[in-house]
Amino acid sequence: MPSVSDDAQLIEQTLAGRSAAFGELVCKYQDRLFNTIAHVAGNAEDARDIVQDAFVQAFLKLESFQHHAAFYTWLYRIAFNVAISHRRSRRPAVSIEQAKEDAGEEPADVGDGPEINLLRKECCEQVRGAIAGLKEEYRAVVVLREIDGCSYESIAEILDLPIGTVRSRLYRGRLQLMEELKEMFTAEETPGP
Amino acid sequence: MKDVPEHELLSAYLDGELTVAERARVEQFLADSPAARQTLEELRSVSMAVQSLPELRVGEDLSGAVLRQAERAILTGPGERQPRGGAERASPTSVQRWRALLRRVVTSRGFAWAGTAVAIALLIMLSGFPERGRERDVVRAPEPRVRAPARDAVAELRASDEAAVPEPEDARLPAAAPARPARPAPAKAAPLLEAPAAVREAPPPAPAKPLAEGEVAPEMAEAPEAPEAPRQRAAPLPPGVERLETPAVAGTLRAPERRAAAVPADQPVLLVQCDITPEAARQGAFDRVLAEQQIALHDGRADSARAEPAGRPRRAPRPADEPLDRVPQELAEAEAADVALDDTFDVVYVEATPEQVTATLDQLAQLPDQFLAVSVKPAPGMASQQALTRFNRRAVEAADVEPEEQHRLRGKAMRDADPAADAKAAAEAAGEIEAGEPYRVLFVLRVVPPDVLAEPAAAALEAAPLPAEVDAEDAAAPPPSP
Repeated sequence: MPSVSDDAQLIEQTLAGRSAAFGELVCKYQDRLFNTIAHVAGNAEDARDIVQDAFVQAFLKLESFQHHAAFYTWLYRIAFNVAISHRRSRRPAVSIEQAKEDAGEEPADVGDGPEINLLRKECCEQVRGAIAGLKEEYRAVVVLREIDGCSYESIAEILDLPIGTVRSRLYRGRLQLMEELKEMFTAEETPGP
Repeated sequence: MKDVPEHELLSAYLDGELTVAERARVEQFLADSPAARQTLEELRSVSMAVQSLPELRVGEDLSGAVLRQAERAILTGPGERQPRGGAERASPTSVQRWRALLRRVVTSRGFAWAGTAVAIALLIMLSGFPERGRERDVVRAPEPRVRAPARDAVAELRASDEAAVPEPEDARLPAAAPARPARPAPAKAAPLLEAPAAVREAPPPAPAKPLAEGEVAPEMAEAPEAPEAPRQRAAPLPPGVERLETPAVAGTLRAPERRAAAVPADQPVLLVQCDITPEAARQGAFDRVLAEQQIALHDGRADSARAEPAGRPRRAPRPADEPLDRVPQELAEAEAADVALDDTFDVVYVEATPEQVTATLDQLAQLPDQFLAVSVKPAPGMASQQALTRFNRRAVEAADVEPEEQHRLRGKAMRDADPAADAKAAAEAAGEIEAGEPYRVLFVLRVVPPDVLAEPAAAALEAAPLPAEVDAEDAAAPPPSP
């Protein structure tokens, strides 16, 4: 978990005029935020723009940051708002294949042989596709929980939702994923010849 | 599988997000229902499948791009409000003024500093001076993806710099020039035809005071002598300063959020923008202030990027038979476009001790009848810029405020921000400079003609429609002066 005290120091330094301190915050959170937003936005290109814009917005609004919340929670909230703005002006979520290509990374080859690696890639493809197919309101909650590991409280704060709604949407999102991925799970459970 | 709330609790149970009472309830439910246990396992499988996706990474460090974009946003926008009409609106006047400023700095004698000067001036110019009733209609540069590459200002500059032979007469007209609306202002355009080699020859108003006990900033010590004429190739720039004709300038002008700025972040450079009356400009009031503070404009080094001096005596228009090789191509283009921007902006680069800077600012503040508004901001320190942003926001919200009042408010806003202290504190916080070390200061003076102050705001808004030919690059130009 990020160190809140480190973040507070960097924020303080930034507000004192050392903008390089904010650069350190960017370095610290850019990949984590990108990984989350890429699954929300559905493609890497949009995700990069959203992440950059979110950091810019955070920089511009840093004076208004209230330290009772974690910086990354506040940052994520900005990023999701930026993502909503982007989504309104851009195309809808891309296809499974396109999402895979845009994401630009595949599961690491862990030496299981080409067949296993291919199977793993296909599974990732399916999971990404299933996430992309979620209703938006479910996708944000699922991604924040499963991809980023946010607590329900953090998710509620980021998305400005009651915790009960977070819980409900997460459950429904998981059910939808379960339905989408049923075939994959069935195949995995089926013993080979 | 019969009670929805309990199923929802299954999901939260998986995440360990239940209260003690809820957990007990779910565990009882699981004990009683094989279907519930099956559902829990399926939910767990889904969760693991998503969590096992490989992490995605940006693949590059975004910090530089973020800081540049943020700084530009601070300097160019009234807070977070979108400019009225967006970047698509730009007046021919603003386009021409912008280009003319760029050209003058490029072709000024202190070419070695042009990269720095222009990069900073771009920030200032994009921010613009407060325009009455004008909600920053041109201050946001367009995104690179929508930018039309038809007219490449950098290519123009490079061409003018590298051209070693006189061009034929017909080569003076750029392809895009005819598309621009003709403006009957030949008299004002004439000074642009000056040979830049002779432009910045104003003698130093006072002997150069040694900077920081005779020390010269390292990059300055290595700065080569500026070329005597714009036809010469540019000498190497000091470390950390990108050459003007490189794409970095295009990045500043055309894609600032994605490209490196000429001035590194945290570099202690002060930006001083000042509205000056025409009378004060004619009388050389600003030069006198610098002289009184023993701040040298020219001391033999290439440390001054002095552009067109506001209000100074100018050379006569170029005679018709003057050899064409004395006239840089871009100036000829300006002539072709009837650009009449010779006496609007002045850019002055100096080095000065903190004491000199403070004394200069104090002196400017004590002459409100000559210097209508003075603002200072460090680049890229935040406090002063944010003060300016807040002021801009208020100014936009109160667009019907009289111009004189806006100038007064603006000056007050910046004085309240204690800009000098802000800059110094920012620089010291960054550990970049020691007390007493010279600042690098870029003054951008705007001569505010009386008719500007007298012009109604509503008329100013209507004054400058965007011509259809203006490309996206032009939209990055600063707000027009009415």
